Amino acid sequence: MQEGMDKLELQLKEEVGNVQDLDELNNIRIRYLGKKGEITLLIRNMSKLSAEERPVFGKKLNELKASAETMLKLRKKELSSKLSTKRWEKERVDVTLPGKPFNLGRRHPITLVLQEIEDIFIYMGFIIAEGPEVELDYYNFEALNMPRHHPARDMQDSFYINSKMLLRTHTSPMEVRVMEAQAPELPVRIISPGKVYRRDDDVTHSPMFHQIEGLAVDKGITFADLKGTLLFFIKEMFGKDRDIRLRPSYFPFVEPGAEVDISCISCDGKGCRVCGGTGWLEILGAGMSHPRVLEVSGYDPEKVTGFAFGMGVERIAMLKYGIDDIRLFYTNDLRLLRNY
Amino acid sequence: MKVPYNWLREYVNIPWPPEELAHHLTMAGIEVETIRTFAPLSEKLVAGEIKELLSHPKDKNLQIAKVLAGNEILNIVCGAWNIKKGDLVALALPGAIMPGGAKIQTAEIKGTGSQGMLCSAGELGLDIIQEEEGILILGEKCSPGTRLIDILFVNEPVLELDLTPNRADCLGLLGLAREIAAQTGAKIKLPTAEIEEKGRDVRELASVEILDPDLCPRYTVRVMEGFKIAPSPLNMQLRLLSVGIRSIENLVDVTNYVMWETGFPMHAFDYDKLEKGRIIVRRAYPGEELVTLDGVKRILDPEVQVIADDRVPVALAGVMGGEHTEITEKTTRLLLEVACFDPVNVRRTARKMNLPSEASQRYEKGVDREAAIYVQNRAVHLIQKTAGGEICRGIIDNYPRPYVLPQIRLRAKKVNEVLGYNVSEKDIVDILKRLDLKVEQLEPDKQISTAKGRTTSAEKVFQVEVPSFRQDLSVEVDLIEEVARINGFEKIPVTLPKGVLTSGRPSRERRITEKFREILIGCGLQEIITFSFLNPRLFDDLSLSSDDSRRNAISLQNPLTEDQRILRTTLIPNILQVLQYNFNRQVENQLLFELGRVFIPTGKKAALPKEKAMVALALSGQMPQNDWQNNPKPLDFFYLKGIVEALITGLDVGNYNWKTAQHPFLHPTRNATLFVNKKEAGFLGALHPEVQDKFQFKQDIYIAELAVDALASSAALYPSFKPLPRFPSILRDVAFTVSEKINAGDILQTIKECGGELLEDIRLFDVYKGSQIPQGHLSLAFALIFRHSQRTLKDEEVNTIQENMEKTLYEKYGAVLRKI
Ligand SMILES: [Zn+2]
Repeated sequence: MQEGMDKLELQLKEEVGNVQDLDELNNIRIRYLGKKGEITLLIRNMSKLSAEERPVFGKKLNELKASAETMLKLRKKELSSKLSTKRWEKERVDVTLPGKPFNLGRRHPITLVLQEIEDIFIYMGFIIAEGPEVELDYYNFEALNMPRHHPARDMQDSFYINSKMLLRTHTSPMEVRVMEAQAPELPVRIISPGKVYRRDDDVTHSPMFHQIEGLAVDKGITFADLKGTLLFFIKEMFGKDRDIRLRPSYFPFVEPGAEVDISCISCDGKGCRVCGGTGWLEILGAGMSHPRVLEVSGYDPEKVTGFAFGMGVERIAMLKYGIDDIRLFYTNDLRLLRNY
Repeated sequence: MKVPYNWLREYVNIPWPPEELAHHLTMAGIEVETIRTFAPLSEKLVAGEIKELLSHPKDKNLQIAKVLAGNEILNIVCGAWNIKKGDLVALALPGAIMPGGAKIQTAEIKGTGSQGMLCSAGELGLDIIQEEEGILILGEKCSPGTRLIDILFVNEPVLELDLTPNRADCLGLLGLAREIAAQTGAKIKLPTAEIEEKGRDVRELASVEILDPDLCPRYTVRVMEGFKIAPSPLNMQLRLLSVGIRSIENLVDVTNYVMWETGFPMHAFDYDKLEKGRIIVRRAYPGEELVTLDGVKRILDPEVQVIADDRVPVALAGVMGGEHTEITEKTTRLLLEVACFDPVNVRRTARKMNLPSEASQRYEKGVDREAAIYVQNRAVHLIQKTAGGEICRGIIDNYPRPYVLPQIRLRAKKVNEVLGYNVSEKDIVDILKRLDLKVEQLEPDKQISTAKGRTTSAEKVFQVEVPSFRQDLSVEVDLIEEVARINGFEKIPVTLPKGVLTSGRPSRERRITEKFREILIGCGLQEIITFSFLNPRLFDDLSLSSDDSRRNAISLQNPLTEDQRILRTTLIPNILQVLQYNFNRQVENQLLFELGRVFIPTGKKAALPKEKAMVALALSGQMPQNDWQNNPKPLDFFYLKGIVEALITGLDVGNYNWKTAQHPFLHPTRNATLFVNKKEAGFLGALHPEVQDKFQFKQDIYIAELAVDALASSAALYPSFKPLPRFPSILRDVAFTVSEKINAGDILQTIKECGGELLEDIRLFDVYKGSQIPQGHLSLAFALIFRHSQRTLKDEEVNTIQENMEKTLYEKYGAVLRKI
C-alpha cells in the first residue's frame, strides 16, 4: 500500500510537471482527485482496512491528497501566468501611435469675444436686444442728436442706400429703438451687439465690423455708475490688474462724453510700442445719455438719467489675441481660425 | 490741428514741458496724437557775418568768403552769388550734421581750405522763399556766432491735435490758450490789434450787401494801400511751415498766420479787380462760372453762396477765392474780408466742389462771430507791420444777425445728480469763471419763474452766460461736463447702478443661434464670418435665372468696390469664396458654416428691408484625414445631410422631410429641399459641376442653406421630460425589394405611418443591390423597435402591424418583403 502511494505521488509529480495547458491540468486533477480519481478511490477503500491500519494510512492518505492539491494549485498558477504573458504580448499596442484624429469645430474668434462680453453684462443684469443692420437715417443720426450736416457725421463715413436709409454706422440706434419700445417703463438696461458698417478699409478699419452698445436708464443713474460698470467689465474681461481712465470726449448723443482707456495689456502701463508709450489703450466710448436723446425716445430727462457706451469688438479681439490687422478676421483663413 | 509749443506760449504761460502739456490737454478732452519736432537743426549751425568776398584762384564759379562767427573769422568756399559783405547767413561749422545726415568737415576745395559751409534753405530742409535764390540770408538781427536754433523758429515741438468736432474754439491757438488758462488759472495774453487809420474812408471805396443774412450773418471789410508785396520775414515763414502751410507772400501769409492765431479764416482781394469796389454776398445764379484759386473752372448753382462784385462771383463764400481777384505782385490795394458764413452751406459747398480747406474746416464748425472786428484789426496791424502801407479809415461791418449770448440755467444739485459725486458750489462757480463764463446766482423768486423743474427755494441755481467762442455749450449738461472736465475725470468715483434688480438674459433668437452653433461645432464645422456685401456678378456664376428672387437685392449708393455693391440675399457666394481662398492655401478638407443675415427688399421704398437670419454649410474633402487605422471617408451628400439632420434633431423641431429639387446651382440629381412642418426651410446638395468650374474648384463641394426661423420657430429650447421606458420593446428587422425609382424617404414615411404610436424608432441599416435582387431593384433593410408605454406588447400585435405594413407597401410601391 505504502509503495503504491509513493508510486502514485511520483507519477502525479511527473504528469503535473509535464503538462502545458490548463485543460490538461484539469484532466489530471480529475484523474487523481475527481469522484473516481485514483486518490479518491484509495480514500474510499480505506473502509476495507483493519482498525489498526486505518489511522496510519488515513493520515498518510490525507497528506497525499493535500500534497496533490498543492502541486496542482501551484502548477495552475504557474501555467496561468505563463499563458497571460503570452496573451499580453499578443495584444500589445504601440501607445505612441497617434490617436484617431477628430475634427474639432470652432467658433470664429469674433464670436468668442462677443460672447465673453455678453456674458459679463448679462451677469450684471443687462438684457440682449438686437436691431436692424439697415437703418433709417433718423435712428442712426437724427434721433442721436446729429441732424443733417452735423459735422460729427464726418466721423462716420456711411454706406447709403437712399436718402433716408443706410447701413448703420454704429449700434447706437438701438438705444433709441429700445427706449421707444419700453418708455415709460423703468429701468432700461440693455446691451446690443451686432454688425456695423463704415466706408473704411485699411489695417485698422474694416467696412464691416462688430460693436456692442450698452444703455442703462433709470432714476438716479450717474456718471460714477458708468465708471463703476465699465471698471467691473474691464476687470472681468482683461483681468483684475487692469485699471481704466476716462478722458473727456465728444459723441453728440452723450454729455458728458468720455473716451475710456485701459492700462496697457502688454506693458502693464509702463509704456511700450503697443500703447505708443502712453501706457494706455483706447478701448471704448461712453457717456451720460443726452437729454435730447432721452426726450425723443420718450423719457423725461428731468426725471431720469442714463448712461451709454459702445465698444468695437474687433478692437478688443485684436488686443486680446495680439492681432494687428483687422482684415484677418474676414479672410477666414482656416490656418488662422484653427487656433481659437 | 498743429500746435507749435513756443508759438502757443506767446498767448499763455504754460507751466509744463511739451509732453506734460500734451497729457493735460488729452486728459481735458483735447487729444494730442503726437509731438513732432519741426526742423530739428544741429547746434553747429550758426549765424555768420560776411566780412569779405574773394574770388577763388582756380575756379571762377567759386568764391571765398571770410565769415565772422563768434570771435573767429573763417575761410569758406562757396558757389552761390546772392551774398554780399555785411550779410548774416546760415553757416554750418565743422561737426554740424545736416538734415540729410551729412556731416560737415573742414575740407580742401580746389586747393583752398574751407572751414565749414554756407547753407541754402533747401540744405537746411526748410521750404521757404527768398528774394533771391542761394544762401539763406537771415533777416533777424543777432551777433555773429549765435546758434540758428536760438534765433529761428526751428527745433520746435509741434503738438498734433485730434480735435472732436465740437471744439471749434481750439482750431485757433488763442482758443487753446484759453483752455490752458482755464486749467492753470492763468490769464491769456491777447496779441495786439492796435492800428492807426489814415487817408480815405473805406465807405467811399467799398460797399457790402448781404442778400441772404441766414447764410452770412456778418461781413466786415477793411481796405489797405501802399504796402510792398514781398516774401515774409523768415520767422513768419517758419511759423507757417511748422503748421504745414507754405509761404506765398507777406499779405497772404499774414491772413494765414492770423487764422492760425484766432481760428478765424479771412480772405484778401485785390481791391482794384473788384468792380466798383462792391461786395455782394448772394447765392450763385444757375450756370454762373468762377475760376477758383486752384485754376479750376467751377459751374455754380443757387445752392452755393458766393461773394460777387458788381458783375460776377469773385469767391466761393468760406471755401476758396477766385483767380481773377487774387493778390499778385502788381496788387497795390487790398480789400480784407473777415466774415461769418453758415456752417452747413460751407460744408455742402466744400463737399460738392471737393475743396476741403483750412478755412472751410473752420467755417463748418462755426467761427466766433463776435471776434470779427478784433480779427480784422489784428490782421491789418500785422500786414502793416510786415508789408508797410496804410490802413484806410473806418471799417465796414454789415452785421444783420447779431450773436445773442446764450443764458443757461445751472442747478448745483443737478451737477451732483449727473456726476454722482459732490462738487461744491464754490468749485462749480470757480471752474465756470476760469472758462470765461459769466456766472450769476439767481434769487429764489426768480428761480421759480425760470426753472421749470422741481426747484425749491433752498436750491442754488446759477444763470450762466456763455461767451461767443464756446458755441458748443448750449444746455445745462454741457456746463456739467465742463465742471467735470476741468475738475478732472479722475475724480469721478466708482459706483454701480442702484435700484431694482434686473435679470440679464439673451433673447430667444440669441439662444437659438447659439444652439445652432453648438450643434454645428459639435459636428466638427468651423464657424466663419464674411461681409454682408456681394458682387452681383456672383449671381451669374451661380446660374441664377433672371427672375430668381435672390437677384432682387439692395444696392449701395456709394460702395467701396464692385465686390461690395449689393447686400447679400444668400450666404452661398461668400462661403464658396472662403472655400476657394483656403483651397488656394492647400487646405483641402473643409467643413464650414456661417450664421448671418440676408437682406430682402420689401418693394416699398421707405420701408427697411427684411433681415432674415440664415445658416449656410459647406463641406469638401474627406474625413478623417491622415488616419493610419482606416481609409478616410469622403465628405459627401449624406455626410452633410447627416449634419443638417443632427441640427434638426438637436433643435427638436418636429416634422420634417426632404424632396428632390431643382436649385439651379446644385447638381441636377443631387439636389434637395428641406421641409419643416410642411414649410420650405432650405436646400442641400452637391454644387453643380458648371458652378464648380466657375469657381475653379477641383473637388466636389456640398452646400446647404437654411432659414434659421424655419427651424427655430418650432424649436424646443428646453425639451420636456420624457420618462424612461418601463416595458420591454420588440425588435424586428425587415427588408423590402423595391424598384430603384421609388424614393427611400417615401418607404420610410409609409412605415412610420403604418407603425403608428407603437413604432418607437426606425432605422434604415442597409441598401443592397446585387445578384439576389431583380434588375432595377434595391433591397432596403430596416430595424424597427416597437413598444407600448403602458404595458408589455404582445408579438401578435406587432405581427398585425407588420402584415398591414407589408400590404400597404406592396400596394403603394410594389415593395415585396424579403425573407432575411
Ligand atoms: Zn504698452
